[in-house]
Amino acid sequence: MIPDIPLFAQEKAEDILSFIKDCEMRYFKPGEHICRQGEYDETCNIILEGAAHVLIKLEGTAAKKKIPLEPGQIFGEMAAFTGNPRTADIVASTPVTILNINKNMLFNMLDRFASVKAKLDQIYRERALSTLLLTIPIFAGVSQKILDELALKVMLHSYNTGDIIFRQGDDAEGLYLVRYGFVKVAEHGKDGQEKVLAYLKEGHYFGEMALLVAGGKRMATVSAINRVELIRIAREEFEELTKNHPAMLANIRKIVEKRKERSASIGKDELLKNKLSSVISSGIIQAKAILIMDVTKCVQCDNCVNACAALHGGKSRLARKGSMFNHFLLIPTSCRHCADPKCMSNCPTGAISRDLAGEIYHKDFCIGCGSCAKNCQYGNITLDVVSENDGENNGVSLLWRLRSRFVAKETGDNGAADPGAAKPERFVFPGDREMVQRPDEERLPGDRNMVASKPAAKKGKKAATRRKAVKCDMCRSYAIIGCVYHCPTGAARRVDPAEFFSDITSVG
Amino acid sequence: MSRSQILDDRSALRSGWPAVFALIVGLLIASFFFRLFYSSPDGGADFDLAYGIIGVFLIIFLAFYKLRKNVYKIRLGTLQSWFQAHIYIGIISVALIAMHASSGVGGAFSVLLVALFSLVILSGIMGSMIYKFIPVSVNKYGSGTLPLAEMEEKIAGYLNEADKHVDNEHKEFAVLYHKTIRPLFVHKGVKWGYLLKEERAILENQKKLFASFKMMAPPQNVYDVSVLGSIAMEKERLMFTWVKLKALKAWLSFHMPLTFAMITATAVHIISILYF
Repeated sequence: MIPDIPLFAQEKAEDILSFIKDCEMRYFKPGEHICRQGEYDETCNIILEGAAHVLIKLEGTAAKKKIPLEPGQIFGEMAAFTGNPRTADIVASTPVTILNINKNMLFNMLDRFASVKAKLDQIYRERALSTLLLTIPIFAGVSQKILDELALKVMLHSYNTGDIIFRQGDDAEGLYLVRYGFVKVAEHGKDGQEKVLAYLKEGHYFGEMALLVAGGKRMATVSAINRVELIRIAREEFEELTKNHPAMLANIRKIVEKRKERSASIGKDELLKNKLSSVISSGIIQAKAILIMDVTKCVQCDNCVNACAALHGGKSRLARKGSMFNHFLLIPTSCRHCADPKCMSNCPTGAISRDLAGEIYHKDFCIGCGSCAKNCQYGNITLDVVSENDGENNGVSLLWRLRSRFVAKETGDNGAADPGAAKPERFVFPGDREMVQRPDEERLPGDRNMVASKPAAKKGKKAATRRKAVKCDMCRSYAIIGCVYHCPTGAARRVDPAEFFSDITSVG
Repeated sequence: MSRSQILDDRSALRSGWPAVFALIVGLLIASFFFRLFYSSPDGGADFDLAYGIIGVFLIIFLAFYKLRKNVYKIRLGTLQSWFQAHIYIGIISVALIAMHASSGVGGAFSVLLVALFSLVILSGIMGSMIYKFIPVSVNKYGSGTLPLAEMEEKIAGYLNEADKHVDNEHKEFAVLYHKTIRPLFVHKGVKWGYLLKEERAILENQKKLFASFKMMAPPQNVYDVSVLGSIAMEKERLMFTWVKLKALKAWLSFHMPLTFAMITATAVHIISILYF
């Protein structure tokens, strides 16, 4: 089977086999989702048997583009390389067997086999370009053929935090599309003072204003807020594209006008200007799920802190103090579940992980080395001594367990994992949030919400202790977010800053 | 469900408490008029009894809020929904009890019961006012985010900070400091009077006081008095916040014992009715 995989064609089958022998094989029935768009999963997959198809949601329509995947083809490499959510749904067309390769294993393989690396880089580039071009609204009316041609001509660029993409006054040489990460657009006045005009995220584009005039100069400086990947469409390609698609040009002109208006309004509106700067300087914009507290509603009852402690073995992971935003929003010390989490970068054991919904959490095999705590620039990870039986769910009430058993009886779910079976429907209470369970987690019989805890230490016997990194995991073992659920006044809220502060995101 | 909906848990805001409240009040008013105009005197007594029984159940439900507040592991609805229910049902219970007692309050014990009930309701209204206005006023300067215990520690710590500024200074100034200025920094507990005062007025007073100290101080120590003045202003500002935050917690020490007393009296009232 290995020689049939084009990715490994130039390597010896036994060498590859020695690498992938520990990988997991997964089986899916026809119609079953292998992965879904928006899920966080850093593994990459190779189809061994059967067929599947990719479904990419086309921007501006309900339609999805279907791309077939055949045996030997790889998918999921984009998420593995970038740590970003899945960009498309993958659905099994026939009974399908896949080889699931985790991120660490994939990177080791790329270090070892040069031909695999070259091939995968090429696949990544082609797919990254075509997927993004399909999902950018300004290309909505452009035919697939032209987009495919364009994908061959455009360039993929990566930038690190703080890198300047272009400066105000530079010659305009192309249009940029943000594939992932955040960029800051700022104008510098005659006094040299910086005025932040916008921050842009994936799916946004910039650099079009200067391209609309011959010999145009950049009107603002654009820099990377975090790790960014951009697609650059050269001026010539842009001009050719807009010449053939006047509707697209008209759309871009409209957006340019809106951006100019917005830029002028930011100059006048001090509050908006401050808000923009704070969102970027405080790192809020990089968060995926940030806890905010409206201090004008907070009655300081500390119920959020107490709830956190009660749900996490008596130790609160939340401190009701932190930085203030716009004089009324407190950003307390609690994990922000960053889009580009620095805490995950150097974990020696891979114990810090991101679940499908995007929550970052520590697995039980954390050795407490403190690498993640050091890397978290917001100080939201602490190291704690925990006893071996200090699992989160040891404190789960008897009533909850009884409820779980009742649900199990009602639904006939014994909690056993059947690799081929479709996921059973979850018992949902009104107001439940969706929980996404990783397949490698052990469950309490019948309970789809909770991960099983280790057996408690015997009475009278002192439980063994060890160091473990502790941080907010958004109560992933429970179906609620404790601090928010137990706030009496609605002051505490978990929000996605990109949506919560949508009034200050870029136009277009 | 979109990600924003997952994160933005505002189920309480979506709950229809105001609509439910309006409906119940409407039904109560209708039933009361029915009782007044259409029912026989005996039937009227039945209505009174029914109002009383429902009122008791509502009071018991209201008391459950305290229990819900301390239950974290069982999902019984968001605490915000409970809090809103506590307020709305509290108002409905007033109407019910008033209708229950509409034919007259007879006997000293019933008067005591009505008095206790009124006090509980008044303290509840006071509490909701406190919850509404204090967080807004204390967070004007952002200092309100400091936990209460840390705040008190900080207020007490201003004395040490002030003391540092007079070490090894001129003797005449030291006497002025120890006799007149230092007592201003000594933390003597909660100054409840601040609740009724304007923050600006308190700070103005401090300014005037320190201006007079500057006149009294030797010329070489005028700057020290200015520094002490700014420390004192900071202390007063924090004290202002602290007192308000203390009030946030303190009102519960009225509301809860009164509630307990009222529930006990209600129990006695029911037993006496059943017994006699």
